[in-house]
Amino acid sequence: MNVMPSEADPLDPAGGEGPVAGPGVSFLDCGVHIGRRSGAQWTANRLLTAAGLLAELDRVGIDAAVVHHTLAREYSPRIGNELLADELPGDDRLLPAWLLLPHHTGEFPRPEEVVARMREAGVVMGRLHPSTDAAAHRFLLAEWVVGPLLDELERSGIPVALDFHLFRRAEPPWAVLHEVLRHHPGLKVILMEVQGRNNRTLYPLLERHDNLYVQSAGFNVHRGIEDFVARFGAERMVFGSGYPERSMGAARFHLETADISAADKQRIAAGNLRALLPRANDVAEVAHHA
Amino acid sequence: MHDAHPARHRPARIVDAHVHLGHFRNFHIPQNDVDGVVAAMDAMGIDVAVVSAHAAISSDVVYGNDLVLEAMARRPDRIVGYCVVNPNYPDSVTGELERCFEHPGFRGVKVHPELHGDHPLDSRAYRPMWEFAAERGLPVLSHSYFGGDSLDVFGQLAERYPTAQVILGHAGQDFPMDDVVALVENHDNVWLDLCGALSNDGAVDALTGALGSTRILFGSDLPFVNGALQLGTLLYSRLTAEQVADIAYRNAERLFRVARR
Repeated sequence: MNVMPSEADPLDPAGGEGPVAGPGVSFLDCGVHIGRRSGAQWTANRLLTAAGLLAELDRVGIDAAVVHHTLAREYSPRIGNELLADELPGDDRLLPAWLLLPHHTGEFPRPEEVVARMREAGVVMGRLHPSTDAAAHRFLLAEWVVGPLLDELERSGIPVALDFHLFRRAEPPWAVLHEVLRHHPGLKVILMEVQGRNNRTLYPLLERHDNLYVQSAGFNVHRGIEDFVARFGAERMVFGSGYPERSMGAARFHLETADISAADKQRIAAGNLRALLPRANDVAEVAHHA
Repeated sequence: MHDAHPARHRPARIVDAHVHLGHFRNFHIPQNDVDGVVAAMDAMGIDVAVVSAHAAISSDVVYGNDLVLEAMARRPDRIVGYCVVNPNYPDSVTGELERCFEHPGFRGVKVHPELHGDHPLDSRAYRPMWEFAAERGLPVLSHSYFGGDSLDVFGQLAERYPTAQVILGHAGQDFPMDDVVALVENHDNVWLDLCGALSNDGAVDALTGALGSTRILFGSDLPFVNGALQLGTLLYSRLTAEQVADIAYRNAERLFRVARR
């Protein structure tokens, strides 16, 4: 399966920077998942297959997505990651992401082995869900817990998405996040679902750490994209919906209606994430030597 | 960007039934004045917003209602108002309502029991507000998440004041959906505004499937949150164009008397 943007890049049909406006613009979603969710009231509860996800991408007009498996977030990262390999159809539009755990309990191999397996499987992104929220994976995002894993991810160039499962008025664990970013300046970190009440701490964190990025639809701030881009540039935001919990169409509408330049919209829509993901050749080379 | 994607609904008009204005102490809101609000409305294609001020629901109620008066004076083509009352000042409730409704731009009453000290919606202090609304047939929008007043309380108030129009802000999204649907089905004067519920993909589809579209209102809660993330969920829903039109503007036009002339 060719999961990487490479010679025939489905994320960049025009090649290079691509057009900045018009029908050639591409969207690459940094965070969706397939599977059968446990579900809740006030959400759409259904089995989402890879084929169903592709249909939604087509319906909304999204070119490609980074995908993880529901079972990896709700049940077991290891088992869910294995299922993802079975269920993704080898379509270049669906790029695999793995949920990751620290190795100390034996649920996961040591970090160097994890990263080697990720590269071998063409995995383009790691995800950590370290909150104590019951829906998350309950470990501390501290160096003495996740430092070795982050060291390996940093060396590999594989970006990591952090999802703290923040409920409405909550905030990330800023102090440990700051320490992680400080210890791993080469690690590309995407903060998912940071929500709308956290700018007073998020902004100084972004000022201090160039390796911190923010998922677009998770940044639920009035005139927020405009404010963010004016302060930090468009390069620090990546398009992501949170589908199927959140609406993929809403994520698109959010970016489309932002009062920023067409070039900046294109960067956020796909360009920034495309630049963060490891290239196909890197993965193949590393996998060959692993 | 793709300007005419076929999956996106494009209703003829959009009326936002749940909008705020101004600063909020708890977090940073960029461009939160009336110009920032209207700029966001322009970007999304929202024609009219029914607005209450953050200051009125969380600080000085008179100062906040004055901000809405100023906003309506600045953009009378785009902004109509909710008058907020604070039950912690029971002696001032009637006077503040009378002051507000001397201005024709005010079209409803907004209450926020949670931010006003968890004051029960059926308490004595709110009684003059309910009587005022019932006498004039006004909509009353109440915050309805994180617990607070039960659905039974909303139902009892709807029965006690049948000419008032009771709007559950956030559509009662922390209650079982079946119970919310039953409340609306059993009371002709109960409405749901979708802000917050639209954060979940599929909620508006499920709610409309159970209830129909005639008593559901689009609300964004902007600038408290990003309006596009709410509106986009409605516009990319799998509802019919007629259902989206009801929710996006037809129901609100009747309720708030903001029909296009």
